[in-house]
Amino acid sequence: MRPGSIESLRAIQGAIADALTPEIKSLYAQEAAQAVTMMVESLAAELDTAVADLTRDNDTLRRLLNHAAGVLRPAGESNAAAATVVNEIEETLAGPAAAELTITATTQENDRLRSALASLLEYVEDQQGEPDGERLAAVRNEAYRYLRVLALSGWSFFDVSGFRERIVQARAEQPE
Amino acid sequence: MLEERISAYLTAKLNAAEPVLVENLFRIPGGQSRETWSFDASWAEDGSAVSRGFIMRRDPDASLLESDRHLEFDVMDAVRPLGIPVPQMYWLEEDASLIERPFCMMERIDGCQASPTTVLMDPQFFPVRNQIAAQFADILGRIHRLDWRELGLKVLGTPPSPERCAELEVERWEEVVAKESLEPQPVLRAAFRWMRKNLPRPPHEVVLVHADYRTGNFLAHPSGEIRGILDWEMTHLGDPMEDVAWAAIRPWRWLGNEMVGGLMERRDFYRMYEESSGIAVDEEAVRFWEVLGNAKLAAIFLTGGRSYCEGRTRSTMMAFIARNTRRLELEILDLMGV
Repeated sequence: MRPGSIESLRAIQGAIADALTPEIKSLYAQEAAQAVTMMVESLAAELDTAVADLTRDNDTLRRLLNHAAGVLRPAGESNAAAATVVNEIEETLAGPAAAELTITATTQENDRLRSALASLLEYVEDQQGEPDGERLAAVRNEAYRYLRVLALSGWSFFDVSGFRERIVQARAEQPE
Repeated sequence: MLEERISAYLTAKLNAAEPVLVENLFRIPGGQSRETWSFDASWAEDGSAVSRGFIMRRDPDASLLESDRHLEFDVMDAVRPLGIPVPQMYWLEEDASLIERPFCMMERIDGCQASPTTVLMDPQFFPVRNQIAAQFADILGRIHRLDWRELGLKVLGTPPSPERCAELEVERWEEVVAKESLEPQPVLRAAFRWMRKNLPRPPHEVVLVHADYRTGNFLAHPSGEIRGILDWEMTHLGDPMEDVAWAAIRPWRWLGNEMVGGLMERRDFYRMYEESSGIAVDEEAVRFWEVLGNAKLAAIFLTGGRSYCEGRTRSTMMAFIARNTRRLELEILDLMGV
């Protein structure tokens, strides 16, 4: 068996840590080496499941946006801002799914869907405290629940500094 | 060679008879918005040998943030005589032909540490942590007590009304996110809308806001004394709670627990700050400003990421940090209570 992507990334990390960093005298270069090591760590945490994660994300986003469009559509008959959001969601959902199972193609689809989600959330936040706000509570909760899962994913240097205890707690609270 | 260019510059500036000797030049890590270089310079003055440590802050090839170099220089120069510990500022040069890019020179404060890892985890600082914490709160209070009108700094621009302080910062950082993002940002866009719906009570008075006041941006001496407050490049007139919140946001709680700046309990920070500033901490306002602070930090990271992707910098750090906005989003969602 040859070393796969993850093993190769670990080899890069190992070389930086064992062979290169001890030879570096400049503090600035040491910081750069540390940044590379951490960047490799973050890539290694995502690489193996990247396409599967993005595909699952895209499915979730499509369901979420479809539900949101259904909730917003009646408001869109009398509210131009709601109608604009519904149109954007409908156009996005009518667009093609990723043609290939590559990181690039699934990311492009993800970006389109997240762009519609951003417009939706802007509208939802604008409605807080307004008559329409309560009707949108389920959509709001669903969207933020999804974004929370995403915000907890992967590896970040914050996990070993300011967010250390918060991440442990948040992951323990996360539903299976 | 950079040493030679610095030497030529200093020789002319100091009117030295012989070329100024520049030694031990090295780039200090961090300071992504300006390159920070340290060196020793020696020359003869009135027949006597003079040696001095310098810091040069030079514009980078690309930055985490576009900021006015006059702002930082003029404000640091103005607050120093008023007892705020900052390095003495020497010269600001906009002529890029001198040392490749615009730069400023300032005093190097020796024997101190800025790195949060050192200040918080090096055993030599353990016995003085409470002392550092107290000064951290006290100096912030003193900055907010300064009469900025007396500073007479045009570079600070027109002061906002207290009612507009928060809105202006929301507008500013929302614009940065819109301009610099390379991908859609649903959390940040929602957060800016949330902020507009949840603007804080206006402050009683507009103060000089440091805008990057945190562990990592001060020089601590092992004696427990803070001898320099650094990185004033985002300073502006605004709401004092902006600084209180920024100092307290999770990314700067380096020890990974709830201690503000890795230094002290939040209630102690508030108490010491209130004693020093005479300004009551508005906890609801702090919550708003923490949302803004995390969004602002994300905006700064995104700016670095765009600079890297567009080839304006080869800095590994800029490429790396832009991959770390998710945790800031988590914190924003927590603070929004959603």
